[in-house]
Amino acid sequence: MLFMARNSLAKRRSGSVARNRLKNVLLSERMDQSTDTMLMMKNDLIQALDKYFPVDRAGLQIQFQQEPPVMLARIPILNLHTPDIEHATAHKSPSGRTGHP
Amino acid sequence: MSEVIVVTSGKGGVGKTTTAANIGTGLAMLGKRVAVVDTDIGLRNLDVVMGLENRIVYNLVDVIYGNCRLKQALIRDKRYNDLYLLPSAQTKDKTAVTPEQMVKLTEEMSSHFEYIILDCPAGIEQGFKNAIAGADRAIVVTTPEVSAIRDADRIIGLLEANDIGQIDLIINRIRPDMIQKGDMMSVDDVIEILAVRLLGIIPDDQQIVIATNQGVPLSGRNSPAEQGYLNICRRITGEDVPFLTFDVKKGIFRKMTELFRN
Repeated sequence: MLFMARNSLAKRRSGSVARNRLKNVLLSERMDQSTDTMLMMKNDLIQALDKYFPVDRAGLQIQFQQEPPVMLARIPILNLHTPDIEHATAHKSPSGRTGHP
Repeated sequence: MSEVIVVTSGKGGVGKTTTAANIGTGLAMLGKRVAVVDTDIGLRNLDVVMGLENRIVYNLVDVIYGNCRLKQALIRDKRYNDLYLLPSAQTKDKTAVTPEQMVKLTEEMSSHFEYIILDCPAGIEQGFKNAIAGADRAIVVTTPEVSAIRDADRIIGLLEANDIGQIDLIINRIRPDMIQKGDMMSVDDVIEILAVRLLGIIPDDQQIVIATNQGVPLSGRNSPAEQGYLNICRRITGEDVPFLTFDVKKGIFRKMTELFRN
């Protein structure tokens, strides 16, 4: 048990933390995306998704992964179980809902 | 045949000048005719690292402005007859020289030397542009730290954009004991991130500080860093030399850790 705990701790040693941080920062730099463009993309994503369900804007996280290059977005959704949203998904007609809920 | 090699890094303080001095010395030890050029105008320091600061009469800017001939400005090393230093000017700044003038200077030097090692200033501004203008190939120096590697990546991009034919990497100040603990990025991690050819690895070594204090080369100290630089020089001349492999857990790795404990 203790061994396993130590093992999982070892995976998060500062060397691998540095490696992952660098990979992320360099991938976005190599894609010639400044922090501004990343921010714009985040906002565009939120706006697009917000038409269909309420997004937790503060909790949105975007990460880049190398080999193969993949963009991973973690998008927390607010109030999925409110009747309003259930109604919308049931009818599968989100196109009618243009504004914010 | 002559080769102009620029030693660069982006970030300051990772060991560019030490590397330029030791590569110059190492190549001279191998019997090559070598010139090391300090291109950091306004902040010269290759002369003190090599212990030649008291012999400066003319400098790089004097040669470019025609105040003196190239031969008058070149300082012969104290130990190696085929090693010369072209010091930088301390009173001017980076804008005193243009990339075109640097190209002309390296072309003139090419007829006298087999290897011309250019010590590049930190940064990506005028000084960097001057230093890389006349270079055939580049050696990028980094340390296994996020800031140095990020800058190295940027520098590699700029070197590629400027059509530098060959770009090689030196990873400096490696701490095998910390890599073993997982608290430092390994050589493989750095190469994977930067995706360039590895020219050599230099372990963190007190002897570097001592040699620099004294203004003498590392040679004869039998230190790990000296071995690393000598291997690098042999690789530059085209020899196939195996790397100091720290990831072999028993053997050198253990020897290295013991060395660091002493």
